[in-house]
Amino acid sequence: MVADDAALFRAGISRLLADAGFDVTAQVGDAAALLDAVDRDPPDAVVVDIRMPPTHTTEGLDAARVLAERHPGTGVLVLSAHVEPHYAMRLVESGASGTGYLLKERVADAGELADAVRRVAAGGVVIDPGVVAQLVGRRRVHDPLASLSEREREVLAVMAEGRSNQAICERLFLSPKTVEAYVHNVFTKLDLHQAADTNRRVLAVLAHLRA
Amino acid sequence: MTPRVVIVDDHAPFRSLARRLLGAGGFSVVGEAADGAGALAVVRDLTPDVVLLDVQLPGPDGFAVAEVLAREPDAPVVVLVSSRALLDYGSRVAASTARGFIAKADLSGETLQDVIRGPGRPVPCSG
Amino acid sequence: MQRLRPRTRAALAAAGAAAGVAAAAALVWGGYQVPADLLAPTLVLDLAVGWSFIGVGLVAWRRRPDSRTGLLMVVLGFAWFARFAVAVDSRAGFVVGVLVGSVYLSVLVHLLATFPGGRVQDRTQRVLVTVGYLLSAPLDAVFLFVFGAQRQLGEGPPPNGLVIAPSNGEFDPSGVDLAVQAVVVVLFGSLLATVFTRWRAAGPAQRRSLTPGAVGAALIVGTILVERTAVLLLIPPAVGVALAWSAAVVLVVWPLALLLGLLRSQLDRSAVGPLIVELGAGLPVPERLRSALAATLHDPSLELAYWLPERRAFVDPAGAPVTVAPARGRAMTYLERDGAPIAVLVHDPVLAAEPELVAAVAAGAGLAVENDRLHAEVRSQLREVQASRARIVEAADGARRRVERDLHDGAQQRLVTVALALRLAHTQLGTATSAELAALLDEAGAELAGALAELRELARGIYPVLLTDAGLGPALDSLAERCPVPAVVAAVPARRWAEAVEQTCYFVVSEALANAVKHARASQVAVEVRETGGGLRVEVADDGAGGADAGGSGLRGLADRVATLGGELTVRSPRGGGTRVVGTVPCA
Repeated sequence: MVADDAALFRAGISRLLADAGFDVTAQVGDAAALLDAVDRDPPDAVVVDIRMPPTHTTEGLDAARVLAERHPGTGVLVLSAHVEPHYAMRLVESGASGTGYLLKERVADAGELADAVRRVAAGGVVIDPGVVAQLVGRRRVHDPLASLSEREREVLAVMAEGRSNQAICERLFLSPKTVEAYVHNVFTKLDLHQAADTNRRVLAVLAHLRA
Repeated sequence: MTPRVVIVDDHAPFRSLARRLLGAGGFSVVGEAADGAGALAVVRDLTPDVVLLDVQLPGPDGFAVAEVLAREPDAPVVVLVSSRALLDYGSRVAASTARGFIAKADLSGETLQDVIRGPGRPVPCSG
Repeated sequence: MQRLRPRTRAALAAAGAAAGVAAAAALVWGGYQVPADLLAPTLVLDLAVGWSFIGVGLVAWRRRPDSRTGLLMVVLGFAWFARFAVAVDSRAGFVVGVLVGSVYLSVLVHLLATFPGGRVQDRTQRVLVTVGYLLSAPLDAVFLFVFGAQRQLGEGPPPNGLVIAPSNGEFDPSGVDLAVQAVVVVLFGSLLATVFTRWRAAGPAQRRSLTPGAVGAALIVGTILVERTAVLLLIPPAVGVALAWSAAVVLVVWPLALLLGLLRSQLDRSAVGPLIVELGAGLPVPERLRSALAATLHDPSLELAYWLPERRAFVDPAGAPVTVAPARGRAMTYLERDGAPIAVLVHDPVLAAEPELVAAVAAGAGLAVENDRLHAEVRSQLREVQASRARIVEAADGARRRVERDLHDGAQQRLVTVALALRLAHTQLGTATSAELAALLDEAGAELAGALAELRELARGIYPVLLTDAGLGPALDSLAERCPVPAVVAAVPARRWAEAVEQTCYFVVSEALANAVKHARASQVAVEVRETGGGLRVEVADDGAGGADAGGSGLRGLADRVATLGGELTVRSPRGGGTRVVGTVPCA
């Protein structure tokens, strides 16, 4: 299900997703229509623009929160033009599983969009690499990340994007054991508690990066 | 003979594309420069027939560079290009020593050919 | 000098009257013979001189307790009458008369040399006054006891020229006499020069009170000079007599001239009434109050400056800032209302000697001054607002120009490249290999991504989306996250304020951070936002090089921006001591 007020963009996304093997069950132009459509026929995942009528501010985020309460089984991927960790955090903080924050320009890569939709549909968390890069790249006076090795920092970044250990293995071409060791090191060095699931892990890492 | 062109622009991707576009459009791009000083050196060195000159250059702008080039012996035909529109420059283009103006998005071998011919202006014969 | 108590004044007046009567009695019944035709004029003139000095002296004493002139005039009057002791035909009378005979002249010298203050103030005055006194009683004592001046017997007129009459017999001055007369001439010559110099140096207001006295003094001294030099110049005795009479006449008039000078102040004070009427006549316009005050105080050079407590500065009636500082030849009188200064008069120092007059004028003008001060304040604010508005417009234009340039040189340039790449791809569809086409499209994709990134940055620079969506705290966090210098934002109260307040605070932080990055070479920046009683206080402190120019366009623009909300921006940036920018914005 795709919600975006720009019809052309909406159609483009639907086309990309259909090409990637998804069944696009509905296309709507605003948050109210989206909620109605989901209520009628809850899909596995929703792709929603952050800015929609009437105020063109954060309707997408608000819809995501409502959906998380009403339809915990539906993943919500919010598309945004802004590299703002604040929005990403608001999504993750709502505690819902299956949420994501992706920059609109990522849709240029159909594979990336499809991957993100699959992950939120499966209850995972997706944080745009650009947002993570900004957090990791932030200049700090006493940078806790300075204690990490370059590899550990890469692992941290991929974790922050919401990837599971398995995904980290594939991304960085590492063995599961090595990844586990890196993840452990990162958490120890940053003085973070190992979280029970990926979502809480993302939240912990993001919160730490924003602090 | 294919007219020999020098492209002056500080944006490298544009130079690269313009080179290929003009090459495909019947011109021979013989040199490139990123600013006015470089343009003068390349023009003296290669004596091209045409200089495709960006208006917004670091340092002296395209109008100033065109004036300098016009004073050269065997002065080349200068065609100004810009990401802005012709209207943005008012009468400055007409008052300049340049042969004409092309908006960058419109650039092709054909448009360059049209401007060089100009209304009633003969194409300079290159040696 | 102490104030003259009414009782003392009455006693002195009575004593003066008695002294006059005694002097007249001495002349008439003293034992000498005064020619009948000279008796009446002599009596009238001498009593007039003595009483004139004592009477006017008492008035001056009361009116100007700060000056000793009144006292000196009273003393002069008594010394004048004391001379008449010589008219008593006895040895004692003769001795006393000779000794005090010319004391009045010494007092006259003292009075003239120190007018109008009556106090010796510099070397010249001291020399003049000392010589003046040495030439009277001490010199006369020498003549009396060393040269043995002899009392003529009680026939003919009293000695010592008490009665002005042609000297009988040949006048044959001795060398000593000539020397003494020469010293007297030099003394009076210097005196005249001193008086003239002082008159010339005086400001308009001072001249006004000096002129009558000075003219009189010039006449007296001039007459005395001619009279004394008559001996040296061998002017015929008849002329000398005429001069002596005229000198006496001038002596009668001179205290009156002085009285006129004093009365002028009194007239000034009565001019305060018309001043108030004039000021009440219409709306004050810049300059009007000043010129009215200048006219009333007879000081065309008078300046008026209003105190603006909020600005902690003086402004002129037109509202332009002025510096008020003590200067040579100028005196300042502060006008107060309820103990707080509202204005200052910068004026001729002589007015400082007439605090009562200035106070009366100030009190009379008080309401108008207060009123005009408010007008000056409004004008001053208007000037500031106009200047600030011009700067804001200029800054907005500058920002537009920058956006235009950034769009053209950045995103548009890249989009043009994309367009060209697509056209090239199109023309090469038939000829190029698919790998070549793919490379061309990748190139276009990369340029597009660059254009998007630039547009995003540009848009955020124009307006931060988080500010409207999420408020000041998240917007400042985002700003700090992007800052190339480590920036820490202390917890911002999690509530929303008026849009203008949030925007202004945001731009204060954003500009201060930009400065810390660009100019200060800071290694860290601390941002703090606190709610104060009536508003929001934003503080940005870095540990950089300091020396930021609060008048520079960036900070100036911020100050203007803060000022439009009625807030205040302070910048403390000591060289080498970091920069602290504090903006306070009131919010209802």
